[in-house]
Amino acid sequence: MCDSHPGARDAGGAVCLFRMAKIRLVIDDHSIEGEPGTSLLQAWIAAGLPLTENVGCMGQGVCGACRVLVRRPGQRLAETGLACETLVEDGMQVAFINLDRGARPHPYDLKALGDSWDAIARIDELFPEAQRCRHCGGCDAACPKGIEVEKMVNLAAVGQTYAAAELFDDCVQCNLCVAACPEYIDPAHLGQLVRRMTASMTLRPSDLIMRLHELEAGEHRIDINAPGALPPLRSAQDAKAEDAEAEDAQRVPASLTKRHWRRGARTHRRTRDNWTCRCRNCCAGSTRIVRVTRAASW
Amino acid sequence: MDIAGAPTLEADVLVIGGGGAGCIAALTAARAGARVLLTTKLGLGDSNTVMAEGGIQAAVGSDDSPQRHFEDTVRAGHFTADKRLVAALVSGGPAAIRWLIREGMDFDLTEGSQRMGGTLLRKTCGGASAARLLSFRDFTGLELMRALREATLLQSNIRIMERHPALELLSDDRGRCAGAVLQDLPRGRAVVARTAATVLTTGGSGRLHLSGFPTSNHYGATADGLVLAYRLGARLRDVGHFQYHPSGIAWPSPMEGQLVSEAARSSGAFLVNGLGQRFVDELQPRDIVASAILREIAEDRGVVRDGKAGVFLDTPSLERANPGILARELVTLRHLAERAGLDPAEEPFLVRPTLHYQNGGVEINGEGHTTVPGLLAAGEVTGGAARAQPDDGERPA
Ligand SMILES: Cc1cc2nc3c(=O)[nH]c(=O)nc-3n(C[C@H](O)[C@H](O)[C@H](O)COP(=O)(O)OP(=O)(O)OC[C@H]3O[C@@H](n4cnc5c(N)ncnc54)[C@H](O)[C@@H]3O)c2cc1C
Ligand code: SF4
Ligand code: SF4
Ligand code: FES
Repeated sequence: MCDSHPGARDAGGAVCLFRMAKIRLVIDDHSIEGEPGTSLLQAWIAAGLPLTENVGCMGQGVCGACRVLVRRPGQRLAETGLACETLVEDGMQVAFINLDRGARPHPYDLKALGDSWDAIARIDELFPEAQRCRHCGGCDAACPKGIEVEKMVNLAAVGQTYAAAELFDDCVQCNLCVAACPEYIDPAHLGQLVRRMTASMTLRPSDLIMRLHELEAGEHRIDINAPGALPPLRSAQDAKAEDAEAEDAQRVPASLTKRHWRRGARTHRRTRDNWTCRCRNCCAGSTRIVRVTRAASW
Repeated sequence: MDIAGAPTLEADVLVIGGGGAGCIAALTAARAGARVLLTTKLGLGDSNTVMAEGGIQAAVGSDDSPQRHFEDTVRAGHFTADKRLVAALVSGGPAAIRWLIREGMDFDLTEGSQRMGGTLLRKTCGGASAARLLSFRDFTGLELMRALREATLLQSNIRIMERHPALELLSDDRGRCAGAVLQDLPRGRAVVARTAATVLTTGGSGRLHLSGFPTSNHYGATADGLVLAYRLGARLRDVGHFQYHPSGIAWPSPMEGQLVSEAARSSGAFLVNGLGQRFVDELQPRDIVASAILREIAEDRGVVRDGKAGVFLDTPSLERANPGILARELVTLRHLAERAGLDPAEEPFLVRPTLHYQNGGVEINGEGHTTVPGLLAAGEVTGGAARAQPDDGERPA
């Protein structure tokens, strides 16, 4: 019986109907049957289709690689989403979205932004399009993480760097907002610029700075043989017991010890390593000639 | 493999892998003036790095020291690690954090602390004698990867080749590594990369599902680097050692293996078996907690749901003891519960150990050189820093 759906059972009462029912959907022109409760990516793999792109973390929803366009039955417009986080539904139509995340239309060098007095003004130079946001909301609609992208763009454009950066805490750099923006503002990269600026220009933790000073002054040399870095001392009794155990583990099976073998007749001039088993039962009870190399364990 | 007629690319440095270690290696080489080729199997940043949650360890507290960090790590590795490597790693920790901040990575500060002159938020993780886990929310890896991905994309002398897995390393007639053969997946053909130095940063191997275990790793974690290095003759070490994270999801099965961050246990959530009893100190090193869970399951004291066995991670009691903690501090955990269709304040998670980290790997010296000239390695693909290493936050990069 199924704990999750105790009411739904097949005639025999053993199998949950929800588990039996398959879900039909289309992904990139392939008609697929999926198990309920699985993600689009899992359904794709289960259908035996090759997966060599549009995947990364495979379910955690943090790498932003598995962008899809999804249309559910009755919906006029398709929605964007992440295939590892979207569960299969009957009648879904899905297409993977390939976006080149390697494009770099807004180059900058973080370390050359000058001091923080100038840096805020530099945002304008680096992302001039940000001033032209038409508040169309396309970016917000595209974001699978529900980030207020438009608001971030507008805050960054007026120099409210920190507030803008905070809005992008959850961004997974899927670049769907980049694809959605009609003004080529590149919100994902603008968001990353304000975040990186904020961290690199304002984060100065005192404890880290003190430790770095100490290290640079040559303090904290590591003693690799300090008592704390050596295995704990064993009492004589423990040591004996442990050694005996270790020896036990090393012990060679009786059938391989020297006592069980005697040198056999030389069958050939060069096969001096032929030995015959004496005990007659450890190796299938025969006296046949067994080849044992010198490397064997006695 | 036929490489006759394959197009050849030349560069000074070839970096194989696009996770944290790969980006750092590429940036370091590029800023030193080298022409860099960064090749990766999936997209840039699609890696284990982006999934890291808990944090990065560095001894910055006044109650802590690199020596303590060193000793904790050596002890957690059951005294088998390469001590010089560990010493280099922990001494470089604070400078690595500064490097990351300079690249634009943010870290959490203690409550009420200012951005300038404040103190970093430090959490304690299993096996540590002082709080030294530095984090950003509970998605530290995402914050790190965002900054590094952007920095790498913006560095003009790094050429990035996505969807180009390395198939084989090449050596010259003196036995030096001379580059690699890559597969251009979009075009379906081989490409030869000829370089003076090659850095292997292909990460771990969780997706091999050893012994049938589920994994927390990303889709591309298939031990490629171990095979590449071995076939070129580089020495490997401790390749039989893996870390099993105690709390992977056991049910519902579509989410099997995904991580329930250690943050839950650090904040005080208990592990409870099918008899409703605790059976281990939850803050012991990971190998100990993971074995304890496996023992409960093997000896029939586990909890079975839809054929999936595990033990409970008791989030409801945690919430009752600290009302609001789930909403306030355990954001990723809440998202996870949402997707699993349960309310963590009412229902516990069913967890079981998941294959998490490759402790062994390619042998390197303190400078990252492998035993093959011209071949370097960094990140999870390397071994020696922490055999049987039970805890997060040690990442030679
Ligand atoms: C869920 C999770 C949580 C974690 N939490 C923490 C934490 O809190 N703290 C911590 O310190 N560590 C944590 N870890 C471990 C840590 O994230 C990894 O060990 C570390 O990020 C590895 O970095 P890397 O660059 O070596 O490998 P990865 O980040 O895995 O990068 C490897 C890259 O190489 C690519 N690649 C693989 N094969 C090939 C090939 N043949 N050719 C080209 N490219 C290839 C991959 O696609 C990938 O891009 C966590 C790991 C996971 C999975
Ligand atoms: S802000 Fe843009 S890049 Fe970030 S998650 Fe949303 S859509 Fe993706
Ligand atoms: S899509 Fe572009 S133009 Fe439209 S609101 Fe967003 S940033 Fe502004
Ligand atoms: S696979 Fe990483 S977000 Fe979906």
